[in-house]
Amino acid sequence: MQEAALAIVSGLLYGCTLMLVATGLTLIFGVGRVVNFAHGTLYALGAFLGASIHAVAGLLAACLVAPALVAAMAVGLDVLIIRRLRRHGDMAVLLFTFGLGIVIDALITGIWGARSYVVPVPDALAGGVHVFGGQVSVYSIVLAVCSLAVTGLLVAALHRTRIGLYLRAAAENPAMAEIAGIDVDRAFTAVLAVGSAFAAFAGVLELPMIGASNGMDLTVTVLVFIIVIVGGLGSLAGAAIASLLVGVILTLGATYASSAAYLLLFAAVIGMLLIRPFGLIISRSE
Amino acid sequence: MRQLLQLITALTALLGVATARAAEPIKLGCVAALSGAGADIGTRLREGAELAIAAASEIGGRPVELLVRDSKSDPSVAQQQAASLMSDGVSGLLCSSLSSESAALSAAARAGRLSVPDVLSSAIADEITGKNCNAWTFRTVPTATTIAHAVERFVGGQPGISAGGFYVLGSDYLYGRSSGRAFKEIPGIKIVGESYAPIDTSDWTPYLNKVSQSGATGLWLPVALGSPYVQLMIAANAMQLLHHVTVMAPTGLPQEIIDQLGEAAVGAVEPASAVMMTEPASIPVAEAYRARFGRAPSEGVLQSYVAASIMLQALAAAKDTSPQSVRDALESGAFSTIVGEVRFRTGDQQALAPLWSARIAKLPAPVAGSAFAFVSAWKYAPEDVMPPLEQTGCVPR
Repeated sequence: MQEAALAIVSGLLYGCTLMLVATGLTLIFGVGRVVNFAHGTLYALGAFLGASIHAVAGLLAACLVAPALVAAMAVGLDVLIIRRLRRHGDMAVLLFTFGLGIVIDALITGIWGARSYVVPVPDALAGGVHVFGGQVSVYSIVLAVCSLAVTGLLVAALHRTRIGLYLRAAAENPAMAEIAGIDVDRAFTAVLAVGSAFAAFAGVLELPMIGASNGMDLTVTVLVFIIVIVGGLGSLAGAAIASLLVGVILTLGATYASSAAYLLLFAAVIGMLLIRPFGLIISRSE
Repeated sequence: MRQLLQLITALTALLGVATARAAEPIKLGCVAALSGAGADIGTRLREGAELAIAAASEIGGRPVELLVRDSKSDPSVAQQQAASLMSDGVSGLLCSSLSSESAALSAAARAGRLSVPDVLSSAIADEITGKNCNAWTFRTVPTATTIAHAVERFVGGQPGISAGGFYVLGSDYLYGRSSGRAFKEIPGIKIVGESYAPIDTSDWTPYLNKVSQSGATGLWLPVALGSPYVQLMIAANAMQLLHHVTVMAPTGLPQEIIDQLGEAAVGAVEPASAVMMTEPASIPVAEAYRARFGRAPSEGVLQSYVAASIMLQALAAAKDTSPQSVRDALESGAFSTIVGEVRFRTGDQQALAPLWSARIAKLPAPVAGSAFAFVSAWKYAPEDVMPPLEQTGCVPR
């Protein structure tokens, strides 16, 4: 029983980490209708940028600068390429982001080499907390709190600010929003920047837990797409719940079924989609 | 006079052709995992081969060219790339990274689909030179069973490690399972738990909690080299597991992780290492690597350096650069390397070379800029720990 409780706690913490990446992807799809296949590589790019910035200016600076750089890159890509491609349909954008992921991956290998970068846990956040006969690291708790706080801020901004109102309007009916004077293109650019920054921020925050290494985006990419689909395409609340569910299922699977953890996850996802084909929560803009 | 001029012209032309032929590079292939989960180790193997080839510069007046191909950490891609390199006329193959890739290459060679000598310097799964043994596959690193024998000797002399028993935590693929199986068969080893994680696991917390809860004092860790291994060690350190559990790493630990862990890594054991950065003969190579790549070499670099040195010496000794001649030279030669003289055993073609049991320690003086590294605890003659040929599963064709 204690073992299961520990697995659930660990799973919730892991789910919170996934939430940060999944929230960015959901936001980009929910508002911009862009299926961003490069999202996982932006997470990895954030981690590698963060490792380099950390080496000269520390983790806090890395948390601020790396997401800002990735957001600036997203703005540039949207203004120069994605905005034009959007006029040719969703498939053109989807293929572009797929290729972009491969290019960013190659850039990471070219710039940082195929080697691992390790960032130590800050002294103040080192150590572990004993729960249910096991241990969770203090840093993973801090990471989960950060993730929940940032996701909460995003949801609040979307629902309680004028900019959030514009973004939701642009998502629900772009044509009507244009008529109402909302610059839809600019709204999509902003969303892409914020979503990409979320992915990069997750990569930096995770540095002391998993470092930065080639291939680190592979698992995350698969998991966040599962989360976005299970949560309900474009639904932030759905993505948040699905993140926690995926984290708990994977951790319970690792605890009781070892190598079959992913098998359990995929079985659960298939079962869930049979019951609720549109995901846990249907986005209003669907 | 005209005839004399024609003769001179013809001779000059012939000389030119001969010179061009002499300067034609000798090609070696490098099928390494340069992307995907194995990119870390694949890159190290490529760098080790490059370093050895740069040091040799030429053989018989001909430069040596390394044709590098990315296996993408995928055994089927590794097979395609090796076949493509064979078509390109390579004399031999190096760099094969993961056990699953090396097993695919050795299976292809045994089935007659690959006929170019391949000197492996990373993969340890028994099958590669066991049931897949063939005329073309040579291996410089110990097998999982050899490592298990070394563990038996090491643990026998260090009862503290095994007091609370061992937990086996491996990656769920050929290497992890093969190493875990061999470890469990060691007489006198008490196993208190066992888990195999998916190869691309990034969250190791639940597995490490199981290790912690098992009360194990030793952790056998056949985890895929690359990002999962890095992530596991970072998580284990963050959870302070390394303070009360001795890590036994069948294939060592990446040097950058040792550098980062520092004191926390001290005491971790590599039971059977094929090469040691801190041995006197290796230090100049380690420093040369650092001068070229800006950091201390991981073991994979030096292992690949040894394999490439052997391949280059076989090329120099072979009567020509055809794969068959190079293979014959590998089979019959004795090669001088930084780990001493290396020969290959007739039958399974496993290297007959010294092995070390090593522990991570603080060095009296940094080597290649690193203050912590594996240092020799014991040195074994190959016959002390290698299983006899009849126990390897190898039935030579």
